[in-house]
Amino acid sequence: MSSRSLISNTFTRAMLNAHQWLGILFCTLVWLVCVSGTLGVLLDEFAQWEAPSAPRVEQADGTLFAHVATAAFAEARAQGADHDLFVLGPTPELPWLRIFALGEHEGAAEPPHLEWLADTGGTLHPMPHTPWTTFVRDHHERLHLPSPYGAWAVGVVGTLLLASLFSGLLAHRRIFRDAFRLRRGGSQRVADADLHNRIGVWALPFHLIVSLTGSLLGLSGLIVMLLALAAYQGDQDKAIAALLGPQPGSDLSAAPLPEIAPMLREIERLTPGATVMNLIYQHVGTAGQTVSISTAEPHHLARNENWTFDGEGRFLAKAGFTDGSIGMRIYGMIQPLHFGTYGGIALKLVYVALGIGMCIVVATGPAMWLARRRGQGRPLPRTEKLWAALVWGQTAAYAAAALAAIVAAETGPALPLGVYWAVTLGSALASLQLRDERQAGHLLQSLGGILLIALALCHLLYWPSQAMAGRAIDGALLGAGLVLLLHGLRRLRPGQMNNDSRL
Amino acid sequence: MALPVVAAVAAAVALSLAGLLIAWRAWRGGRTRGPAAAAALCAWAASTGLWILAFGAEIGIALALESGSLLAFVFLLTRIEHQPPRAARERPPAGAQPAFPPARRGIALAYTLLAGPLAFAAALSLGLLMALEAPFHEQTRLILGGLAVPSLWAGMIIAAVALRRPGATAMVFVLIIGTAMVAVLAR
Repeated sequence: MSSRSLISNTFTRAMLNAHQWLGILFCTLVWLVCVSGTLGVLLDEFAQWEAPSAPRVEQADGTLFAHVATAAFAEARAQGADHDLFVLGPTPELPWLRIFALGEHEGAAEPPHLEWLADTGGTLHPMPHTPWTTFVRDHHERLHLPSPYGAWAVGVVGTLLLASLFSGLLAHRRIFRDAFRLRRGGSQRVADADLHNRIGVWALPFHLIVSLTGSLLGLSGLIVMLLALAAYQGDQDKAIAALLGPQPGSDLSAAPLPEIAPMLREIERLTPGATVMNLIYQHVGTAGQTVSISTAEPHHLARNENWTFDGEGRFLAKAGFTDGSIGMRIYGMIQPLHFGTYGGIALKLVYVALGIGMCIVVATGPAMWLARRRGQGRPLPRTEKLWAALVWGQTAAYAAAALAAIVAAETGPALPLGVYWAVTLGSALASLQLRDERQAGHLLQSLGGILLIALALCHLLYWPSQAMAGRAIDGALLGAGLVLLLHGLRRLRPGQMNNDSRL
Repeated sequence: MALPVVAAVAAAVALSLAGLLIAWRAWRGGRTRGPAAAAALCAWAASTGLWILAFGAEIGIALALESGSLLAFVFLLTRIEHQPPRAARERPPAGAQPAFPPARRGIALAYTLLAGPLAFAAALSLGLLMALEAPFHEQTRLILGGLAVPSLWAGMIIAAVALRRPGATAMVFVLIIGTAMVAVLAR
C-alpha cells in the first residue's frame, strides 16, 4: 500500500490548514523566541566576552565553596538578602564562581537580590556588568514580562511551535519523495519551500527536543501549581516535596551555617571522586535551613546529582537525577537538552547551527504563504515588507543593542532592551516606505553587516587582550558581518534586484 | 577525550554519513523503500550504538540525534539543485492591503478560546489523570503527568484548528475535563 493511500487528502488538507494558521498567527512570537534561543545557547561565552576582565576560577574545591558561602552570607545578612544563597561553581564553559543571595518575597515587590563573583582566593567581587547577555537571557526566558507570566508566555510559544511541528509533519505528503530535493536559483517560493521542508524534516529530532523542553521549562511552574491544586488539594509544598524531595523547615530562628566538610565526606563515601558543582542554602541561617550540594555527573545527561542535608548536616535525600525514578531522571535531562550543555563547546556550536536551521524554517514559513498569495493575485505588500524587516532586522537590532551596551559601560539591561526594540520597530516602520520586501531585506542585511563589523571592532578596541572565547566571538562577528554586508550590497545592485523572482 | 572515544565518534559520524549516502543514492534512483532503506537504517542504528558506546545511553542517543540532524543539514547544502533564474514577472501594483474582515474576528476569538484555555484545561486534565492513576511510582506519575501536558496541548491545538468543528471539539474537551474532575472528586 502506498503512503499516498494511507493518508487521505482531507486529513492532509486539514493538517496543512492548521499548520498554516498556527504559523501565520504566531510567527512573530515564535521567531523572536527562536532567534533569542539560538543566541542563548552561547550565553556563557557571551558573558565572558562582555566582561573579559572578570576573575576566572577554573576549579573550586569544597573548602573554597564553604569559604565563599560564609563570606557571602555575612554580606547578604547585612543587606537583608539572606533568605536563600546560591554558590554556583565554575564549568569549562563559564569559569566563574558565582554567588547569588535572595531576600524574602514580600508582597508583589521583587525580593532583594545580591550577586558576586569570587576569585581563587575566595574574595568576593561585584558581579561584572553583562547587560547585553542579561537582555538576551530575559528575552528568551520571559520576553521581558514580569515573573512568572513571562516564562508561561514563552512556554506557550514552545507549545505552539510543537503544534506547528506536528501539523507540518502530518501535512507533508511527499516526505520521502522530496527527501533530498533542495532547489535554488529558480522561483524563490519553491526555494523557500524546499528549505522549509527539508530542514524541518531532517532536523526534526532537534526541533522536537528544543520545543518540547522549552515548553516544559516555561510551563512547569504553572503545571505543577495546577496539578498540586487538584492532586494535593492545593498544597503546593506537598507537591513540590513529592517532586523534588525534602524542603526547608518552617523554623526561622537564627542558626549558624552548617559545616560543609562532613557533608562532602558523606557524599565522597557514597560516590567516591564526586566533584562539587553548586551549593544551595534554602532558608539560609535559620534552624529550618537545608543545604543542597550538586556534584558533577559527566556521564549523565542531567550533568549533576543533588544531595540534600538539613541544618545540622544530616543527610536527607539524593535527588536521583542519575539513578532515581524514571520521572526524576527525565526531569533532570530537560534543561541540558534544551540548552545543549551536555557536550562542551562543540555541542553548543551544533546547537547554534541547528538553531539557525530552525530560524530558517520559521522565517520561510510566512514568506511562502505571502509569496503564494502574491502568486494568486492577492498580495499583502505591507505584511511582506514587515515580515522581511522583522526577519532581517534582528541582526541589526541585536548588534546595535550589544554596541550600545559596550559603549555605555556600567549600564543595566534596560539600555540594550530599548535599543533592540527601537531598531526592530524602526526597521519595521522604515520598511513600509521602501519599494518592496526584497529591498527592505537587502538594506537590513547590509545594516546588520555594518553593525556586526562595528561591534567586533569596538569590542577589540575596548579589550585588546582577552581570553580565547572573546577572540573567537569577535572573529565570528567580523566574518558574519562581512558576509551579510557583501550579500546585501550585491543584491541591492539595480540589475540584481530586477533578476530576483519571488513567484 | 580518550583515543577510543575519538575513534568511536569518528566511526559513528562515518556510519551516519554512510546511512545518508545510501539513502540519497536510493532516493536518486527512485527507490525509497526496500534493501537500500533498510541498509540506511542499519547504518544509522550502528552509528547510534557507537555514540552510546562512547557516551552512555542518555548522552549517546541525544548526540546521535543532534549530530545526525546536523550532518543531514550539511549534506543537503552540498546537494543543492541550481536552477536557471526565472524571468521576473510583473509584480502587481502595491495597492492598499485588505483589512481583516470584522465578521471573522468573532470566529478567530472562538478558535482562540477553544485552542487556548479550553484545550489547555483538557490537556491538563489528561495530565492530571496520568499523575493520579498511572501505574508508576508517585514521583514518576507526577513528573510524567506534568511533562505530558505540553504535547497533549499541542495535539489539541491542532485538533481544534484542523477539525473546523468547534462545537464538537469543545464538547470533547469539556468531556475530558469532566472526567478528570470526577476522578479527583472520587479520591
